[in-house]
Amino acid sequence: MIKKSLTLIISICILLPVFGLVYWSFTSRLPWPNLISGHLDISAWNALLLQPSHWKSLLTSVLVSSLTVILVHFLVLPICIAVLIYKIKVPNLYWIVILMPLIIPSISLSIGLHLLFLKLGWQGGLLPIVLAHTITSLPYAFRILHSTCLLLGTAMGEQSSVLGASLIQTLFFVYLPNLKKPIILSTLLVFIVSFSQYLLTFLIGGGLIKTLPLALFPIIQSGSRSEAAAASLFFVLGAAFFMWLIEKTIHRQYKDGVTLWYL
Amino acid sequence: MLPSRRINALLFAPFALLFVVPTLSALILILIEATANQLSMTYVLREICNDNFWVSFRFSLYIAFVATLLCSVFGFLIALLLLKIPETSGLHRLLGWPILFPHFAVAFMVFLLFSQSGLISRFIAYFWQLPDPSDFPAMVFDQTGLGIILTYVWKEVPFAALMFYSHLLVLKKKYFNLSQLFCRSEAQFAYRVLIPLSKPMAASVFTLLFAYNFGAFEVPLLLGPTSPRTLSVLGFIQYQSADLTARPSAMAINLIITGFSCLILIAYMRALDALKAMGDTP
Repeated sequence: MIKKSLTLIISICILLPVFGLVYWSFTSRLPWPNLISGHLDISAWNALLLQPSHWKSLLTSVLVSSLTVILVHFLVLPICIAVLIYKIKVPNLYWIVILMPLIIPSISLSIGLHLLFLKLGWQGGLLPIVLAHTITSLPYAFRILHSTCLLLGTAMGEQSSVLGASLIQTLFFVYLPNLKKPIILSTLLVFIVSFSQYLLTFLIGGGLIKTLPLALFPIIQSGSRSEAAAASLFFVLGAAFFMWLIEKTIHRQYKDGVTLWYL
Repeated sequence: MLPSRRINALLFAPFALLFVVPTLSALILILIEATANQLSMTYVLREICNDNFWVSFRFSLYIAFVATLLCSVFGFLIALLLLKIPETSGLHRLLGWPILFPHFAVAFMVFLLFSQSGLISRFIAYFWQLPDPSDFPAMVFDQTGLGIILTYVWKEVPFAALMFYSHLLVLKKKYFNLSQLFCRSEAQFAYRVLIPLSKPMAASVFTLLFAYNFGAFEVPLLLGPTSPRTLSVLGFIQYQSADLTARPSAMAINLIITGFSCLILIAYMRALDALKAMGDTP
């Protein structure tokens, strides 16, 4: 009984703000003491969805986040191989640097990267943004994949070499299939971290590359309530849709569900 | 298989080149910009002597501490609840939702609910008495930073709960049968076994969230009062200011933020070491 009611209370605490968001996105011009407007107003959604620039920035965001996911795994997977096959320990100095983006506030890291890219003359392109997103989201992927590699151990790989498999075969038929679940997990996580990055994109992109948070932040900051509510929901639904899509595409032959929810 | 040095270097090269080098050089650049010459050094000193700076510093520290404490405690309690209910109950899934919401959207949700003309004040006015919206206590844009704290709580309690839950699940598997011999009740099991053995995990969750809450920028920008500002907002405004003389003090503020975070980083690494010593993977 107590368990049931506690579950209910927690669920309400999570759902109530979301409900408020949905409610306001369909309500406009509701003077203060009124709670119920009585009719559905879709003007905020209309204004939002009919704006082609929002759809464009959604696509830009997906492009940036996808490239980030690819680059992150391109950097992290070789290290997993080194850990698995060559039993290399990740040096301590690397560990410190890996934990830095998690701990050092995004404001300092963003300004530092901005200065760096200014010095290098990379201002406003797509690739600097992808690199910057990679730096902030790599630690998440690294920790998931590295800890799985340690758990996986080398026993299975040694077994396959005893049976005569080459290194490449061991890699593709033993290690990578076992890493599939954590790779899906880290893909989803890197995607969402990159997808909701505001400050970093704002500074590095110099406002030229408009990702979705960049397009919607001004609406939330100064638009009307219903517009801002619709914008927030648009973002969340976009993120949820693409994460669902990623999960479905990577996961086709995979029966038992891995989901980000259990991270 | 002995690692050949060349293969080793090859596997680490992209990572070192595209992650380690830029991260370190970004931080070193802040250090250089803030301390390059005597003039910029005076700005660092001036910031340190500045009352405004310390007010912001205290405000950031206060928000981060309160929010993180609430998140850790509630997260742990919810994780204990999660242990007791079946995974099919839906709560596990529901706790994943806040990951999808970016901080600025959560901040706006808090604004919709808790502002003086928000849904809760309307609700009270509808069912009871509330003559004017200004009679509802100011919970956003206020000096106590309540709106900011509520935002962090909504977003991070589920995160903390899921972190603790995965840890507690391992502990339960390891020790539950043994505890049947020694503990009289499940409450005793929680108190004697789960809580003491969760300390390293708690330290790691606490430092991680604290570091985030201390330096986060979007939420205090949207929901914070104009004075005092949090340190991150102050640093950003100075950096973006059209007045070029504000730039050195922006660099000074960021240097101090970074230095302070390095202290948190040390604490975090010690927490991770303690976790590793327990046999939990980092």
